Amino acid sequence: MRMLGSKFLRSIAATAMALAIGMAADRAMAEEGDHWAVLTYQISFPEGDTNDFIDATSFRGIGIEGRWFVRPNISVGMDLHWNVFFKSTNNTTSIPNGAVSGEQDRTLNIFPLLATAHYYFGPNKTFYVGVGAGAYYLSQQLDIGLYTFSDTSWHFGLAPEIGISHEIGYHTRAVLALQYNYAFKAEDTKIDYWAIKIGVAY
Amino acid sequence: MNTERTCLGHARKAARWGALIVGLLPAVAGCYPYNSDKSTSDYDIAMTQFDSKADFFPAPPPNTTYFLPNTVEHIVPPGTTDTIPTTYDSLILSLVADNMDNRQYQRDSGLTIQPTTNFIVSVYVTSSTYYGYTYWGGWWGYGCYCYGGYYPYMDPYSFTTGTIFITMADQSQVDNANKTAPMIWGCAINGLMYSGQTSSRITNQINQCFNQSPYLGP
Repeated sequence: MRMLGSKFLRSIAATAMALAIGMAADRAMAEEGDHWAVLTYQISFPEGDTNDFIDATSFRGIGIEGRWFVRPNISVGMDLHWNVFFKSTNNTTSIPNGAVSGEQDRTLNIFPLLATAHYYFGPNKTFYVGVGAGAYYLSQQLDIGLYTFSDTSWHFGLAPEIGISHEIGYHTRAVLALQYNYAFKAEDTKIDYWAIKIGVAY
Repeated sequence: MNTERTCLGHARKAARWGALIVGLLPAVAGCYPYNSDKSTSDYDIAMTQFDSKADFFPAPPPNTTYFLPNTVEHIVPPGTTDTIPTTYDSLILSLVADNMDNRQYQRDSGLTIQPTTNFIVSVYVTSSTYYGYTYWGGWWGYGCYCYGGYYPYMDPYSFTTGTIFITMADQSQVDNANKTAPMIWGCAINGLMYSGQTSSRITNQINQCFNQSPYLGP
Protein backbone atom coordinates (compact mmCIF):
# COMPACT_ATOMS: atom_id res chain seq x y z
CA MET A 1 0.00 0.00 0.00
CA ARG A 2 1.42 3.32 -0.97
CA MET A 3 1.82 6.02 1.66
CA LEU A 4 1.74 9.66 0.77
CA GLY A 5 4.58 12.08 1.45
CA SER A 6 2.40 13.63 4.18
CA LYS A 7 3.30 10.66 6.40
CA PHE A 8 6.93 11.72 6.08
CA LEU A 9 6.02 15.29 7.04
CA ARG A 10 3.95 14.10 9.99
CA SER A 11 6.94 12.06 11.12
CA ILE A 12 9.15 15.13 11.00
CA ALA A 13 6.61 17.22 12.90
CA ALA A 14 6.17 14.55 15.58
CA THR A 15 9.92 14.17 16.01
CA ALA A 16 10.52 17.90 16.21
CA MET A 17 7.73 18.32 18.75
CA ALA A 18 9.08 15.45 20.84
CA LEU A 19 12.56 16.95 20.78
CA ALA A 20 11.25 20.37 21.73
CA ILE A 21 9.35 18.92 24.69
CA GLY A 22 12.38 16.96 25.77
CA MET A 23 14.63 19.98 25.47
CA ALA A 24 12.32 22.16 27.53
CA ALA A 25 11.92 19.56 30.27
CA ASP A 26 15.60 18.70 30.54
CA ARG A 27 17.12 22.15 30.15
CA ALA A 28 17.69 22.83 33.82
CA MET A 29 19.26 19.45 34.44
CA ALA A 30 21.64 19.31 31.43
CA GLU A 31 25.26 18.50 32.12
CA GLU A 32 27.19 20.33 29.40
CA GLY A 33 29.47 18.23 27.18
CA ASP A 34 28.38 14.75 28.29
CA HIS A 35 26.33 13.91 25.25
CA TRP A 36 24.62 15.35 22.22
CA ALA A 37 21.22 14.50 20.86
CA VAL A 38 21.27 15.48 17.20
CA LEU A 39 18.28 15.87 14.91
CA THR A 40 18.94 16.57 11.24
CA TYR A 41 17.15 17.19 8.00
CA GLN A 42 18.97 15.60 5.08
CA ILE A 43 19.29 16.27 1.37
CA SER A 44 20.76 13.31 -0.49
CA PHE A 45 22.46 12.83 -3.86
CA PRO A 46 22.60 9.35 -5.40
CA GLU A 47 25.75 7.76 -6.81
CA GLY A 48 26.60 4.54 -8.67
CA ASP A 49 23.89 1.89 -8.68
CA THR A 50 21.59 4.14 -6.69
CA ASN A 51 21.89 6.79 -9.37
CA ASP A 52 21.26 4.19 -12.10
CA PHE A 53 17.89 3.42 -10.53
CA ILE A 54 16.94 6.94 -9.48
CA ASP A 55 18.98 9.86 -10.78
CA ALA A 56 17.24 12.50 -8.70
CA THR A 57 18.10 14.43 -5.55
CA SER A 58 16.21 13.42 -2.44
CA PHE A 59 14.68 16.12 -0.26
CA ARG A 60 13.09 13.54 2.03
CA GLY A 61 15.59 12.73 4.74
CA ILE A 62 15.66 12.82 8.50
CA GLY A 63 18.19 11.63 11.05
CA ILE A 64 18.55 11.19 14.77
CA GLU A 65 21.87 10.67 16.51
CA GLY A 66 23.17 10.18 20.00
CA ARG A 67 26.78 11.06 20.73
CA TRP A 68 28.39 10.34 24.08
CA PHE A 69 31.72 11.98 24.88
CA VAL A 70 34.24 9.47 26.14
CA ARG A 71 36.92 12.15 25.96
CA PRO A 72 36.54 15.94 25.70
CA ASN A 73 37.11 15.71 21.93
CA ILE A 74 35.99 12.16 21.12
CA SER A 75 32.45 10.85 21.06
CA VAL A 76 30.88 7.52 20.25
CA GLY A 77 27.25 6.94 19.51
CA MET A 78 24.45 5.77 17.28
CA ASP A 79 23.02 7.19 14.08
CA LEU A 80 19.61 6.29 12.68
CA HIS A 81 18.32 8.00 9.61
CA TRP A 82 15.84 7.62 6.81
CA ASN A 83 16.35 8.74 3.24
CA VAL A 84 13.77 8.47 0.47
CA PHE A 85 14.63 8.66 -3.20
CA PHE A 86 11.81 8.99 -5.70
CA LYS A 87 11.48 9.57 -9.41
CA SER A 88 8.64 9.38 -11.87
CA THR A 89 9.75 8.65 -15.42
CA ASN A 90 8.47 7.29 -18.73
CA ASN A 91 11.80 6.30 -20.24
CA THR A 92 12.19 2.94 -21.92
CA THR A 93 14.05 0.61 -19.59
CA SER A 94 16.24 -2.25 -20.75
CA ILE A 95 15.65 -5.67 -19.25
CA PRO A 96 17.52 -8.91 -20.04
CA ASN A 97 16.86 -9.62 -23.73
CA GLY A 98 14.23 -6.95 -23.99
CA ALA A 99 12.80 -3.64 -22.93
CA VAL A 100 9.77 -2.20 -21.18
CA SER A 101 8.09 1.18 -21.64
CA GLY A 102 5.50 2.93 -19.53
CA GLU A 103 5.01 5.45 -16.74
CA GLN A 104 7.20 4.37 -13.83
CA ASP A 105 7.32 5.45 -10.20
CA ARG A 106 10.64 4.43 -8.68
CA THR A 107 11.15 4.58 -4.91
CA LEU A 108 14.03 3.79 -2.59
CA ASN A 109 13.61 3.84 1.19
CA ILE A 110 16.95 3.55 2.96
CA PHE A 111 17.28 3.11 6.74
CA PRO A 112 20.88 3.18 8.00
CA LEU A 113 21.46 2.17 11.61
CA LEU A 114 25.07 2.92 12.44
CA ALA A 115 27.48 2.92 15.34
CA THR A 116 29.49 6.12 15.13
CA ALA A 117 32.66 7.72 16.37
CA HIS A 118 33.59 11.40 15.99
CA TYR A 119 36.67 13.48 16.66
CA TYR A 120 36.29 17.19 17.39
CA PHE A 121 38.83 19.88 16.72
CA GLY A 122 39.31 22.84 19.06
CA PRO A 123 37.87 23.55 22.48
CA ASN A 124 34.56 24.69 20.99
CA LYS A 125 34.13 21.52 18.89
CA THR A 126 33.57 23.69 15.83
CA PHE A 127 34.90 21.19 13.29
CA TYR A 128 34.63 17.42 13.46
CA VAL A 129 35.21 14.28 11.47
CA GLY A 130 33.67 10.91 12.05
CA VAL A 131 32.66 7.56 10.67
CA GLY A 132 29.70 5.27 11.08
CA ALA A 133 29.44 1.55 10.46
CA GLY A 134 26.46 -0.72 10.62
CA ALA A 135 23.38 -1.96 8.87
CA TYR A 136 21.47 -0.49 5.96
CA TYR A 137 17.92 -1.62 5.27
CA LEU A 138 16.80 -1.02 1.69
CA SER A 139 13.25 -1.11 0.40
CA GLN A 140 13.09 -0.76 -3.36
CA GLN A 141 9.87 -0.42 -5.34
CA LEU A 142 9.04 -0.02 -9.02
CA ASP A 143 5.49 0.83 -10.07
CA ILE A 144 4.93 0.46 -13.80
CA GLY A 145 1.53 0.43 -15.42
CA LEU A 146 -0.79 -1.51 -13.18
CA TYR A 147 2.02 -3.55 -11.63
CA THR A 148 4.31 -3.19 -8.66
CA PHE A 149 7.68 -4.86 -8.17
CA SER A 150 9.34 -4.55 -4.79
CA ASP A 151 12.32 -5.95 -2.99
CA THR A 152 13.98 -5.50 0.39
CA SER A 153 17.50 -6.24 1.48
CA TRP A 154 19.96 -5.74 4.32
CA HIS A 155 23.48 -4.49 3.77
CA PHE A 156 26.56 -3.72 5.78
CA GLY A 157 27.86 -0.23 5.17
CA LEU A 158 30.14 2.62 6.14
CA ALA A 159 29.48 6.34 6.41
CA PRO A 160 32.39 8.77 6.78
CA GLU A 161 31.43 12.28 7.68
CA ILE A 162 32.78 15.79 8.17
CA GLY A 163 30.91 18.59 9.79
CA ILE A 164 30.82 21.83 11.68
CA SER A 165 28.87 22.87 14.74
CA HIS A 166 28.23 26.21 16.36
CA GLU A 167 26.66 27.07 19.68
CA ILE A 168 23.44 29.01 19.18
CA GLY A 169 21.97 28.89 22.66
CA TYR A 170 22.16 27.27 26.04
CA HIS A 171 23.46 23.76 25.38
CA THR A 172 22.17 23.99 21.82
CA ARG A 173 24.27 23.87 18.68
CA ALA A 174 23.59 24.18 14.97
CA VAL A 175 25.08 21.35 12.94
CA LEU A 176 26.00 21.14 9.27
CA ALA A 177 27.64 18.01 7.92
CA LEU A 178 28.46 16.11 4.74
CA GLN A 179 28.18 12.33 4.93
CA TYR A 180 28.93 9.66 2.34
CA ASN A 181 26.92 6.46 2.70
CA TYR A 182 28.20 3.27 1.12
CA ALA A 183 26.43 -0.02 1.63
CA PHE A 184 28.19 -3.09 0.25
CA LYS A 185 26.59 -5.32 -2.33
CA ALA A 186 23.94 -7.76 -1.16
CA GLU A 187 21.43 -9.58 -3.37
CA ASP A 188 22.93 -7.92 -6.45
CA THR A 189 22.37 -4.40 -5.09
CA LYS A 190 24.63 -1.86 -3.46
CA ILE A 191 23.86 1.62 -2.23
CA ASP A 192 25.91 4.76 -2.29
CA TYR A 193 24.89 8.36 -1.88
CA TRP A 194 25.95 11.66 -0.38
CA ALA A 195 23.90 13.41 2.28
CA ILE A 196 24.00 17.00 3.49
CA LYS A 197 22.80 17.08 7.08
CA ILE A 198 21.38 20.27 8.61
CA GLY A 199 20.13 20.26 12.15
CA VAL A 200 20.51 20.97 15.81
CA ALA A 201 22.37 19.26 18.61
CA TYR A 202 21.32 19.43 22.22
CA MET B 1 20.28 15.64 46.66
CA ASN B 2 23.01 15.23 44.07
CA THR B 3 21.93 11.61 43.66
CA GLU B 4 18.32 12.68 43.19
CA ARG B 5 19.31 15.28 40.56
CA THR B 6 21.36 12.69 38.65
CA CYS B 7 18.56 10.11 38.70
CA LEU B 8 15.96 12.63 37.60
CA GLY B 9 18.28 13.95 34.90
CA HIS B 10 18.84 10.43 33.51
CA ALA B 11 15.10 9.78 33.58
CA ARG B 12 14.34 12.93 31.64
CA LYS B 13 17.05 12.16 29.11
CA ALA B 14 15.67 8.67 28.68
CA ALA B 15 12.20 10.12 28.16
CA ARG B 16 13.54 12.51 25.56
CA TRP B 17 15.23 9.74 23.62
CA GLY B 18 12.10 7.65 23.86
CA ALA B 19 10.02 10.51 22.49
CA LEU B 20 12.42 10.97 19.59
CA ILE B 21 12.30 7.27 18.72
CA VAL B 22 8.50 7.23 18.94
CA GLY B 23 8.44 10.25 16.65
CA LEU B 24 10.32 8.31 13.99
CA LEU B 25 8.20 5.14 14.27
CA PRO B 26 5.95 6.10 11.29
CA ALA B 27 9.14 6.13 9.24
CA VAL B 28 9.57 2.39 9.74
CA ALA B 29 6.72 1.67 7.36
CA GLY B 30 8.44 3.54 4.59
CA CYS B 31 7.41 6.36 2.32
CA TYR B 32 6.17 5.62 -1.19
CA PRO B 33 5.45 8.82 -3.05
CA TYR B 34 3.69 8.49 -6.35
CA ASN B 35 2.68 10.65 -9.25
CA SER B 36 -1.00 11.27 -8.61
CA ASP B 37 -1.54 13.22 -11.82
CA LYS B 38 -2.09 10.18 -14.06
CA SER B 39 -4.55 9.56 -16.84
CA THR B 40 -5.79 6.14 -17.97
CA SER B 41 -3.22 5.98 -20.78
CA ASP B 42 -0.41 6.49 -18.23
CA TYR B 43 -1.06 2.96 -17.04
CA ASP B 44 -0.26 1.48 -20.47
CA ILE B 45 2.92 -0.55 -20.74
CA ALA B 46 4.72 -2.21 -23.67
CA MET B 47 7.19 -4.99 -23.03
CA THR B 48 9.29 -6.81 -25.60
CA GLN B 49 11.52 -9.87 -25.41
CA PHE B 50 13.69 -11.43 -28.09
CA ASP B 51 16.01 -14.35 -28.70
CA SER B 52 19.48 -12.86 -28.81
CA LYS B 53 20.70 -15.75 -31.00
CA ALA B 54 17.98 -15.34 -33.62
CA ASP B 55 18.72 -14.13 -37.14
CA PHE B 56 15.99 -11.63 -37.96
CA PHE B 57 17.08 -11.29 -41.58
CA PRO B 58 17.91 -14.79 -42.93
CA ALA B 59 17.54 -13.30 -46.40
CA PRO B 60 18.68 -9.81 -47.35
CA PRO B 61 15.83 -7.29 -47.06
CA PRO B 62 13.29 -7.08 -48.53
CA ASN B 63 13.40 -10.82 -49.23
CA THR B 64 12.75 -11.93 -45.65
CA THR B 65 9.09 -12.95 -45.59
CA TYR B 66 6.46 -13.28 -42.91
CA PHE B 67 2.96 -14.64 -42.62
CA LEU B 68 0.30 -12.70 -40.70
CA PRO B 69 -3.22 -14.16 -40.43
CA ASN B 70 -6.28 -12.02 -41.11
CA THR B 71 -7.73 -12.54 -37.64
CA VAL B 72 -6.79 -11.80 -34.07
CA GLU B 73 -7.05 -14.73 -31.67
CA HIS B 74 -9.10 -14.00 -28.55
CA ILE B 75 -7.94 -15.88 -25.47
CA VAL B 76 -10.74 -16.63 -23.02
CA PRO B 77 -10.98 -19.17 -20.20
CA PRO B 78 -12.32 -22.56 -21.36
CA GLY B 79 -16.06 -22.79 -21.22
CA THR B 80 -16.64 -19.04 -21.14
CA THR B 81 -18.13 -16.78 -23.78
CA ASP B 82 -15.82 -14.52 -25.73
CA THR B 83 -16.93 -10.99 -24.83
CA ILE B 84 -13.79 -9.24 -26.01
CA PRO B 85 -14.83 -6.66 -28.61
CA THR B 86 -13.58 -7.16 -32.15
CA THR B 87 -13.77 -3.43 -32.86
CA TYR B 88 -10.03 -2.98 -32.87
CA ASP B 89 -8.90 -6.25 -34.47
CA SER B 90 -8.45 -4.79 -37.97
CA LEU B 91 -6.60 -1.79 -36.53
CA ILE B 92 -4.22 -4.09 -34.63
CA LEU B 93 -3.51 -6.23 -37.70
CA SER B 94 -2.90 -3.24 -39.94
CA LEU B 95 -0.51 -1.69 -37.41
CA VAL B 96 1.51 -4.89 -37.16
CA ALA B 97 1.65 -5.24 -40.94
CA ASP B 98 2.65 -1.60 -41.41
CA ASN B 99 5.47 -1.86 -38.88
CA MET B 100 6.76 -5.08 -40.42
CA ASP B 101 6.59 -3.62 -43.92
CA ASN B 102 8.37 -0.45 -42.83
CA ARG B 103 11.22 -2.65 -41.58
CA GLN B 104 11.57 -4.22 -45.04
CA TYR B 105 9.85 -7.51 -44.29
CA GLN B 106 7.70 -8.86 -47.10
CA ARG B 107 4.28 -10.21 -46.25
CA ASP B 108 3.12 -13.42 -47.87
CA SER B 109 -0.07 -12.65 -49.71
CA GLY B 110 -1.59 -16.13 -49.42
CA LEU B 111 -4.09 -17.35 -46.86
CA THR B 112 -1.84 -20.19 -45.70
CA ILE B 113 1.77 -20.45 -44.58
CA GLN B 114 4.14 -21.23 -47.43
CA PRO B 115 7.17 -23.50 -47.04
CA THR B 116 9.37 -20.58 -47.99
CA THR B 117 7.96 -18.24 -45.36
CA ASN B 118 10.63 -17.18 -42.88
CA PHE B 119 8.56 -15.95 -39.93
CA ILE B 120 5.06 -16.57 -38.58
CA VAL B 121 3.56 -13.55 -36.84
CA SER B 122 0.53 -14.05 -34.61
CA VAL B 123 -1.65 -11.66 -32.62
CA TYR B 124 -3.64 -12.54 -29.49
CA VAL B 125 -5.90 -10.51 -27.25
CA THR B 126 -7.12 -11.24 -23.73
CA SER B 127 -8.81 -9.32 -20.95
CA SER B 128 -9.19 -9.65 -17.18
CA THR B 129 -11.57 -8.04 -14.74
CA TYR B 130 -10.52 -7.31 -11.16
CA TYR B 131 -12.82 -6.68 -8.22
CA GLY B 132 -12.10 -5.10 -4.88
CA TYR B 133 -13.44 -2.78 -2.24
CA THR B 134 -12.33 0.11 -0.09
CA TYR B 135 -13.31 0.02 3.55
CA TRP B 136 -14.25 3.29 5.25
CA GLY B 137 -14.41 3.28 9.02
CA GLY B 138 -17.29 5.01 10.73
CA TRP B 139 -17.24 8.35 12.48
CA TRP B 140 -19.03 9.52 15.60
CA GLY B 141 -19.70 13.01 14.29
CA TYR B 142 -19.86 16.32 16.19
CA GLY B 143 -21.41 17.12 19.51
CA CYS B 144 -23.85 15.29 21.69
CA TYR B 145 -26.13 14.35 18.79
CA CYS B 146 -23.33 13.10 16.48
CA TYR B 147 -23.96 15.57 13.68
CA GLY B 148 -22.42 14.33 10.44
CA GLY B 149 -21.60 10.89 11.81
CA TYR B 150 -21.85 7.79 9.67
CA TYR B 151 -21.58 4.03 9.96
CA PRO B 152 -18.65 2.09 8.47
CA TYR B 153 -19.20 1.04 4.86
CA MET B 154 -17.49 -0.66 1.95
CA ASP B 155 -17.08 0.93 -1.47
CA PRO B 156 -16.77 -1.77 -4.18
CA TYR B 157 -14.93 -1.19 -7.41
CA SER B 158 -13.88 -3.13 -10.48
CA PHE B 159 -11.68 -2.52 -13.47
CA THR B 160 -10.89 -4.41 -16.65
CA THR B 161 -7.50 -4.67 -18.27
CA GLY B 162 -6.68 -5.75 -21.79
CA THR B 163 -3.51 -7.34 -23.15
CA ILE B 164 -2.36 -7.64 -26.76
CA PHE B 165 0.32 -10.23 -27.54
CA ILE B 166 2.30 -10.13 -30.78
CA THR B 167 4.64 -13.05 -31.40
CA MET B 168 7.09 -13.94 -34.13
CA ALA B 169 8.21 -17.55 -34.67
CA ASP B 170 10.92 -18.85 -36.98
CA GLN B 171 9.35 -21.39 -39.34
CA SER B 172 12.69 -23.09 -39.91
CA GLN B 173 12.67 -24.14 -36.22
CA VAL B 174 9.09 -25.39 -36.08
CA ASP B 175 8.87 -28.87 -34.55
CA ASN B 176 5.87 -30.49 -36.24
CA ALA B 177 6.13 -33.67 -34.20
CA ASN B 178 5.81 -31.85 -30.89
CA LYS B 179 3.81 -28.98 -32.40
CA THR B 180 6.11 -26.30 -31.06
CA ALA B 181 7.37 -23.13 -32.68
CA PRO B 182 10.04 -21.25 -30.72
CA MET B 183 9.23 -17.57 -30.33
CA ILE B 184 12.12 -15.34 -31.38
CA TRP B 185 10.35 -12.04 -30.64
CA GLY B 186 7.38 -11.19 -28.49
CA CYS B 187 5.55 -8.09 -27.48
CA ALA B 188 2.95 -7.61 -24.74
CA ILE B 189 0.86 -4.47 -24.39
CA ASN B 190 -1.24 -4.02 -21.29
CA GLY B 191 -3.54 -1.30 -20.05
CA LEU B 192 -6.92 -0.37 -18.66
CA MET B 193 -9.88 -0.93 -20.91
CA TYR B 194 -12.28 1.94 -21.20
CA SER B 195 -14.28 3.47 -23.98
CA GLY B 196 -12.20 6.54 -24.79
CA GLN B 197 -8.94 6.96 -26.72
CA THR B 198 -8.50 3.21 -27.24
CA SER B 199 -7.50 3.51 -30.92
CA SER B 200 -4.77 6.05 -30.24
CA ARG B 201 -3.50 4.09 -27.24
CA ILE B 202 -3.31 0.86 -29.24
CA THR B 203 -1.54 2.66 -32.07
CA ASN B 204 1.01 4.26 -29.74
CA GLN B 205 1.81 1.07 -27.88
CA ILE B 206 2.15 -1.20 -30.94
CA ASN B 207 4.44 1.36 -32.55
CA GLN B 208 6.40 1.57 -29.29
CA CYS B 209 6.91 -2.21 -29.31
CA PHE B 210 8.57 -2.03 -32.69
CA ASN B 211 10.48 1.17 -31.89
CA GLN B 212 12.10 -0.42 -28.85
CA SER B 213 13.15 -3.45 -30.94
CA PRO B 214 15.96 -2.09 -33.14
CA TYR B 215 17.13 -5.64 -34.02
CA LEU B 216 13.95 -5.94 -36.17
CA GLY B 217 15.41 -3.38 -38.51
CA PRO B 218 15.36 0.40 -38.79
